[in-house]
Formats: sequence, structure tokens, C-alpha cells
Amino acid sequence: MVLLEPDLKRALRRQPAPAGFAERVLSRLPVAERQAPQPHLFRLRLVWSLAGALLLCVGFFANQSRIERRNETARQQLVETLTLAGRQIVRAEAKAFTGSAWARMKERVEQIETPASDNDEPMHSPAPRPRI
Amino acid sequence: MDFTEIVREHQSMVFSLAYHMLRNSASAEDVAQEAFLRLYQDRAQIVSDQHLVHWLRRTVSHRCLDILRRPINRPHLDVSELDLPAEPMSADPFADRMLRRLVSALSPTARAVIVLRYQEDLEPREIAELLDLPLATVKSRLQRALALMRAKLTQQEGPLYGAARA
Repeated sequence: MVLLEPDLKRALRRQPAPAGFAERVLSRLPVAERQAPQPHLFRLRLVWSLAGALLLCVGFFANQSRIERRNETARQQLVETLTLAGRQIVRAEAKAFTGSAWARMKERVEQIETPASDNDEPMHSPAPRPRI
Repeated sequence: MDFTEIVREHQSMVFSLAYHMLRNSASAEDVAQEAFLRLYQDRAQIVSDQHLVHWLRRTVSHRCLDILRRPINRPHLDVSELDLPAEPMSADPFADRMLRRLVSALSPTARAVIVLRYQEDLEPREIAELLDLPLATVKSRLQRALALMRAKLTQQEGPLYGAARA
């Protein structure tokens, strides 16, 4: 079996390529280049796609941030308005309370200062102390 | 290296691999051209001369196996070898032709193993790597193919062939 090997090597030795083979291959290269996507063009497309996607993401997050800032401002304004309104209400209540207390005190003072009609002695004058 | 130089340097190896596997000059040239065009497209991946040769052998072998495994597109055996490229005169052209015919009668995988072993002088380990086959499979295909061819040679040529060789 081993003795067959030299015969096989001789029978299967390399054959020269047909005449003009290299030229035919080289003449097909531009066609192949047109059919196949160019590596640098592919990379360029990839870079542009990534840049576009990045730009979209940045735009989206910027918009979100702007909306959040607007909402925060509105919330702060609302809180301030409510705080101011609350203060006004408290002040008005205090004023109303103070006014009624003052009115009650004044009324009492007036009651006290007004002499009674059915008694000669004023109620507020003390009785004369008996002399011993 | 310039691509033109690569084609000129390796065209014989690529064409011969395809020709010995397909036994058809036109199909072999198609496969060889296709292999070089693919190499041109993938040339950025090639890192060394050894890698280049490995890549070409692998691409051509697998392409030929694909063709041979398709029954419709299986190339017919040449009735005559008139379309053979000009080859150097052999000591025994009849024996060479007979051996090539025997090789072409083998199964596709066995044919690929034999061609890579005796045309390219590759070790079974390298053939296994090229064809994505286990080493044991390559060795068994090789031995079986050789035994089969020897048996057929003995049968066709008579016991004298075997006796003379032995």
C-alpha cells in the first residue's frame, strides 16, 4: 500500500493553471468590489449610524431634562403661592381673632365704666371704711 | 504582497486542488477564480503567508466538497483528458491517468483527503484541520481509499501490477 504513494504523488502533482487565468481573475476584481460592501464604507455607515443614534439619545434626554426643570419650577411656584396664601389666611385669622377679643374687652370696659341707674353708689367705688 | 503576485504564486496550487477533486477543467477554474475573489474580499483577515495558503486550501476544498455533494451539479468524468491543461510529461502517463480516474471514483471526502495528502503533501493532522474532520476519520479514509484503489488497480491491471509494485 505504501508503494502506491509515489505514484499518487506523481499523478496528483500540481498542474499549471490555464493560460490567462490570473488575468481573468484580476479582470473580475472590480465587479467583485462593486458587489461586495467596501470595508471602509461599511465602517463609515456604522459610524454615522452610531452618531445618529447618539444624537437622538442626547436630544431625548435633553428634552426630558427640560420638561423636568419646567415641572420643578411650576411646583416651586405652586408651593410659594400656597405658602403665601396660607400666611395671608393665618394673618387674616389672627387679625379677626384679635379684633373680636379687642371688641369684647372694649365692651366689658364700657360695661364697667357705665354707672348703674338703680343704685346711688357707684359699684366700683369702695365702701367707706368705718372709723374706730 | 500585491494581490496580482498572490494570484500568480498560488494559482497552480488552487487550480490543481480544484481540478483533482472535480476532474473538470472548467469547473476547477470557476472554483479557483471564486476562491481568489473571496480572498480579495477577505484579504484584511489574512495575517501571514502560511495563513494565506491555509485559507486558500481550506476554501477550495470545502467549495469542491459542496459541489461534489450536490448530485445535480456533480461534474461528469471527462471522457478524454483533452481539456487537461498542459502538464509535464510523466514517466508513465497511462498509469497517472488511471490513478487520477481511480481518485475521481472515490467518495467526495476520501477524494479530498487523497488530493490534500498527495498533491499538497499534508499530514493527516493538517488535513483533519482543513476539512473539519476528526484525525481518526482522516486516517481511516486515507487507508481505506488506498486499499480500494490498490484493489481496483490490481483488478484492472491484473496481478502483475501489484506484483511488480510489490
